Amino acid sequence: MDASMGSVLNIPAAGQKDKIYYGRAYRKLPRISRLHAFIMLLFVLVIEVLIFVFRRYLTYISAYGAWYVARVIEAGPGLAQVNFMYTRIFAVDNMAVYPTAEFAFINLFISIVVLALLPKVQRIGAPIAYWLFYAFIVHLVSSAFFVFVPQYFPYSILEITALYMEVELVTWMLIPPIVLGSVFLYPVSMLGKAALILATLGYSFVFGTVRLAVFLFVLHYGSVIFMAVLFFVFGSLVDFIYIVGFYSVYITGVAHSLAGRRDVWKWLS
Amino acid sequence: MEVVVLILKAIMFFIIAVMLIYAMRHYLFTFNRLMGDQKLYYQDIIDNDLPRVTVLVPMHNEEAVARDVLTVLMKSDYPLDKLEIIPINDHSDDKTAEIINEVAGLYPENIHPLHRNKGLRGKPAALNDAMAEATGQVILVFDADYLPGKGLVRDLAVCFKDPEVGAVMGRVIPINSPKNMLTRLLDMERAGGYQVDQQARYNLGLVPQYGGTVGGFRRIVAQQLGGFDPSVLTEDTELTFKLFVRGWKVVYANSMECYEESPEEWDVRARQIKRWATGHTQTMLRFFSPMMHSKQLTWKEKVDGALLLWIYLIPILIVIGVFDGLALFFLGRMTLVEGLAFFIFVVAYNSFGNFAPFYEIGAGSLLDGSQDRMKLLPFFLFNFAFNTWVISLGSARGIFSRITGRCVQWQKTVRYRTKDARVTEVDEKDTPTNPPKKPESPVPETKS
Repeated sequence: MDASMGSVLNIPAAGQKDKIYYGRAYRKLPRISRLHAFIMLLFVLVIEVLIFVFRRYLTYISAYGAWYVARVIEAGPGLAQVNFMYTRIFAVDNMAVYPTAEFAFINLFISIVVLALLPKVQRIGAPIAYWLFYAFIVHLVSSAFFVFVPQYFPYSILEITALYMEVELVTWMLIPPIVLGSVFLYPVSMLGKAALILATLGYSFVFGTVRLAVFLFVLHYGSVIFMAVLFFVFGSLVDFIYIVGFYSVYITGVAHSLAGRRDVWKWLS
Repeated sequence: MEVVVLILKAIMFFIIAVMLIYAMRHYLFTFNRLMGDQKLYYQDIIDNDLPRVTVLVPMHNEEAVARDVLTVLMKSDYPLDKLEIIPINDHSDDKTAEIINEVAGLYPENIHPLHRNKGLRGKPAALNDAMAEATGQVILVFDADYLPGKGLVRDLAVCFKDPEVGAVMGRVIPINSPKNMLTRLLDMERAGGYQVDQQARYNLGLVPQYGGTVGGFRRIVAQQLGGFDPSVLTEDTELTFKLFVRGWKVVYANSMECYEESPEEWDVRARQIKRWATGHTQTMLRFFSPMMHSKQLTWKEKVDGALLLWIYLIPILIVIGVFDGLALFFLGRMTLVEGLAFFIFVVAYNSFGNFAPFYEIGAGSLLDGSQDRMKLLPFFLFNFAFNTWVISLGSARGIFSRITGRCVQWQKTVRYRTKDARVTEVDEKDTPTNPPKKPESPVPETKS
């Protein structure tokens, strides 16, 4: 039964329904068995341990992959290592490109103009407009920083890519429990849940690598003035798009599989 | 400088902790709704000693929908000798008054129009005036664009047989959900909010909210509590907490469904949630302390009541968190913990839906029977900036109005149903035949 049923103009009269839908007000699902719960938790624990044990190699693959994809950037020494999580993980080093005063001022001016004009532009949908507003607020702050106090910019490329890899590593470790937590309660196949976790994790790895390559490209050709926007707008926040994306496809499948199954649904207690 | 950094980090950790608490709260609700014992509403009570009911229908320029709602209310199976309907024409300048009078002329025993052309505009003031005229022990409220089913009046009224019940709230279902992306997202959001959140709070003995429509309350109690404050933009939240702090029950009727029109345009949606944020914040400022000092409430009711009252301040916390994060970033003090944890928990909790995490919306949609629509969940992220900014403005306006004492003007939500769309039938529920008439027995109105 879809929640869009019953338009004003064609609701059937009483006695003419061709299907009696399950009452949805108090139906619920049976609890998963302890064995099911134990196996899923064990699976996630194994994944976590593997990520932790191979963290150095995972960051190497990711950092190298990003550097390779962004190899149009010829300047800089390439990969470097930093201390994190009781080991040395890999990050990408490169010559930081700082914006000129003129470039910083142009960015500041554009940010102000865009922020002033955005509310007046009708053709952009409201959610996109607000996202752009948020992005340009962040960029305004960054541009103002480089206009007024550029000498205090605290990051090198290595430091920011190191922070990026640290965030990625922890994101990879958080994905299994977050994804499992969101589907843990559903009495469906363990294999499906495991596949969801692995698919999300795999995508995160590839996405994170490609994103880092894009970041390197932007920072090299656009300068570090864009670092704040990359971090605050296209960083971890965007990770959740694909986490929820995979979840939404999965839960749709769960909904299809549970629809009409009287043996699964319970009522009240 | 170190002191500044310390303060910034303390703020960040505070925000993360708040997000974490709300995320856990909503996970608990999701778990309870999916797996826990479900608390039934009172719908199975068959009682021929029903209270006298007055149905209030506030209307401001509702010519497109006025006739429909009054027509379907008169099709209700509630005993006509116990049913009064007061359509409230609130400063309308279209044909609302004429339509109301025309329909009232057909049912003079039951429909008693109230025309307001002077005094304060807005739903709270309109309800106050109507309550003064009402003869029912129980007041039910429907917005003008609603189409209550035949048995809904009885089903909502019957819970007042329980002398501890102060208010009741039914389930609101968007009728125009297929219209566009916004309405589809709002439909899912409603599923999370009603099917999971409200029902879980009812199951757990916490605070289901009276939502101002498809709901009702005891007239005498509301009047004794001073009626509705016209300066508060969410009279429903205000009443909920007025009752709650005094130990009255607010019950949630998940099976009592009624259709509404959800906003179809983003600017309409912005005005709606801004009003909610303003009113909710006004209520928070007024009732937080009385609630925490109430001797009628358990500690868990107080904790959840506090979380409910503070919920519209979350977007302000997010805005503060973003600027806090930017400050730490440019000071070179943004570490992994602040950088990741903030966004993980902010996003997990708030980005996907209006205060309903994605797993709550998914659970609600699944329970509702939705299937392919859940693939739209990732699009909620685009609501994130929209909701954060608009609600922050609304909450800030609520704080400002409380401090300055300035009133914020009520704004009506736009209707989309045209005058040409006719109602042919409404979804009918199986109801018992009308009980035989019995002398009306007095129902205690004041909770001892």
